[in-house]
Amino acid sequence: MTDATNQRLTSDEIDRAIDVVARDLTAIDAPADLRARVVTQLSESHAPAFERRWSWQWAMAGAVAVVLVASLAWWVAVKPAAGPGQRFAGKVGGGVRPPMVSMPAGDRTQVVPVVASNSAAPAPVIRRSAVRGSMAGDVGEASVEAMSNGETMAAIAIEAIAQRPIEIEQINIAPISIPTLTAIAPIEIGEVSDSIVQ
Amino acid sequence: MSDSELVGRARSGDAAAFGELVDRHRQAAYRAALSALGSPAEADDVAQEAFIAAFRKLDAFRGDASFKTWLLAIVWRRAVDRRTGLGQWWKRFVSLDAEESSWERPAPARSPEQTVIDEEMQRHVRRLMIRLPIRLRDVLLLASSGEYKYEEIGTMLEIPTGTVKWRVSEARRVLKTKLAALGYDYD
Repeated sequence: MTDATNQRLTSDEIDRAIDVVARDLTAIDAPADLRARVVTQLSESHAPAFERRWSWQWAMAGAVAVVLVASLAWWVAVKPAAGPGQRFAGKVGGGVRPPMVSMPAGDRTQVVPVVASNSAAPAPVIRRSAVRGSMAGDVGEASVEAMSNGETMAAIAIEAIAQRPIEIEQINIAPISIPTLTAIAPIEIGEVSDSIVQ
Repeated sequence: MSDSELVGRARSGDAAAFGELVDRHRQAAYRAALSALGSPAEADDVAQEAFIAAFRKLDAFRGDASFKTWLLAIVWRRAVDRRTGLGQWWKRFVSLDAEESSWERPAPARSPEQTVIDEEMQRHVRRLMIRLPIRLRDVLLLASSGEYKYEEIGTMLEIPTGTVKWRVSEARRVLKTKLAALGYDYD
């Protein structure tokens, strides 16, 4: 769109042009049936005079409720259960589930979980009975469960070793003999020189 | 019957009395919405919604201001809410032409003497006016429509009357400056 050649107008003329354009933009008549539509809608409406408004107060209340429900759900999910059979909460070493270990209970063996490392009480030391024998035998129920979790045999063996307390049965120490020091007689200065001359 | 008497009847459930109020003020309500939105269809929707809302809030009308002023405040709030809605924002973001199309109007009748120069100048003025900052454009359109006093505009927009006058003056100044840049100098 090309500009008109520079025109020198008065300020009033430009004001008039602005007024004309502004009036044209809004000089549209309202629809004639607006009254009929409003009255019809009011007649059909069974709603009470109270108008529900989606005000920001309702939005805030809804947001707070959602946060509370989400927080409660999260807390229930992560809360450690009380009691002897509590689930382990948190990571152990590389993040694997703690294995179940077998404990002698009378004439049979029962499988119990290791107490969580983040508990206040120290973890119990699991002592294998002497008849258990070899390393392979000691990798019992704990290892079966661990293998079902995809652990390698090496990791299972390492865990089995880690759970076994080191039992020192005997320490053989060779006796240490300390040789006695013999006294060295002091050398007389005169005696040495006589021998050299000869 | 005065507006106050009609309001009293409408409060007791007289829909016909309220219909009379709609008839008296529908032009003012509709054109206020049109000034904010540009689109006749959207202005119609907003005007209807505002009348329904006003009926339901009649108990809250204390009579401090005239019914017309109170009604126009409701209309303006609803029009601005619709204007700032996501759809309108997207339209402005995507294309200013899309917004300008809302303001399309049929060419008004002009005298032959005004036709040649005025048409092109008015196209410039119209395009520049649509692109004014919203707070200046709103006030300029409302004031130029002839439907509202400055005090009523101030109540609608919740600004002092002095601010209304200043914005009208500022809108004109900005338009004149931009027109001068297009070659329409003035003394």
